[in-house]
Amino acid sequence: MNDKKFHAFRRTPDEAYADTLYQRLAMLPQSHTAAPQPEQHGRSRKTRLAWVVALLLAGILVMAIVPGVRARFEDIVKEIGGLSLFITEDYPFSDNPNIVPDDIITLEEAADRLGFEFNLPAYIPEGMVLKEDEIHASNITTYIRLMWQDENARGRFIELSIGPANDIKWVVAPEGVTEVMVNDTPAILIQGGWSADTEQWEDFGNKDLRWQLAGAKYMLYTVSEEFGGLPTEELIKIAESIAPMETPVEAPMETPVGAEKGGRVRPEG
Amino acid sequence: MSNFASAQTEPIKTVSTRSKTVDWETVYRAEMPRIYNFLRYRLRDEAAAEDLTAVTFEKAWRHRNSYQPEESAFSTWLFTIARNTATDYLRVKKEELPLKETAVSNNPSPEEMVSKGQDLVVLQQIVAELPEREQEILALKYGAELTNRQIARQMGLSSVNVRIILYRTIRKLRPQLEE
Repeated sequence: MNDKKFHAFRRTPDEAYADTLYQRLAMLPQSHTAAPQPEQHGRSRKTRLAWVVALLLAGILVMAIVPGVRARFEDIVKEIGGLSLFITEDYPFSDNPNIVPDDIITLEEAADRLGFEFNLPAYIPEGMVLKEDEIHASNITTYIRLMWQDENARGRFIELSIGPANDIKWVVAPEGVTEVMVNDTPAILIQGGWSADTEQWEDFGNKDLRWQLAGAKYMLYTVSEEFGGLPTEELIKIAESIAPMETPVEAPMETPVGAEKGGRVRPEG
Repeated sequence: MSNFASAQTEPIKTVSTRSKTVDWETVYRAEMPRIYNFLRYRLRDEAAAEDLTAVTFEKAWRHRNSYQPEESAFSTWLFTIARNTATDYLRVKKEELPLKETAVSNNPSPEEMVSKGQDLVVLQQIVAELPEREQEILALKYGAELTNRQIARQMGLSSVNVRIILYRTIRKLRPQLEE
């Protein structure tokens, strides 16, 4: 895509403007919207706290007594194969999207960033190759992401994210999650995602297979088959080809080795 | 950029958020031009872009304790503020005067107008007809120079969606740029 002309409208901000704004910021007070002073509002805070506790207890009581309410609660928080899901029609994080840039790392550094060794899939569909110059490490959580792509059909790619098992709840749509099996272990298949345009969950045709193995959490992503993505059976086949590590995630670190398909990647140390 | 850090007012070196210290000077140096250009592309109005860049940084500074580093990078947070500020501004402006009415005659070619410093007029002409989402994606891509992946996360889309939207938008606009 030739889009060079679109960059031509960029301008460096005027220096005087940049200086003035910076000086103005330096003189601004910080907003103190946090807790009010206890001497002035101590009683009202205690009263509010008492109300919160009372409402909480009432909620628990209603949930215990009314089967319908209990069923509804059970419907929205689910655990499959050790993975916690929060199933909702709404998307609680739409006002705070996340675009923290990842670090680009080498395969050898990947295990070091994770703090544990991991195995690569022994099976990768024909034509797809590991993009060793596009291995990402998250700067928010402990996750690395690897990508295999078909050089002849660049829309045909998969992304494998690996991180330590944790109790994070994934927010998914009621219709967007299915339980599947990966080597006889329950796993989840998430389809679609939140659309910021329509402000509702939509099925874009993308698939996200998530499962846990030997204390690690794996996520395997593919785009819609319309754009060259893989069918579910292929995703599961790739997932099943990742051998579990003999040692748990907390195992002592060893020397990094192995970058080839099906190879083992170990942290430095 | 000039010596804003050594201005007469005592420079802001760092700001403490809930659990992380942000180097405000570095953030300002790196992000101000990107925020400014995002708003310039988004609003296509030089004065408004400067005003809203100031509003964005003032909001960020005043409310820096509400920034949660475990959820997003500081730059992400800034762009969210900038996008919301721009949306509010455009909503008010749309009620006052539809954007299309401010477009000028397209007698000179876009390239001639860019060379004459009328780049915002050109930008206005070629993107004013686009849907809001495409306009915002263009501003994030070419104004802020974010990657497709960063735009995808900011907009709640997949990076494939962003790539396809950009491809289709550029293909649609290219004839106007090349006229």
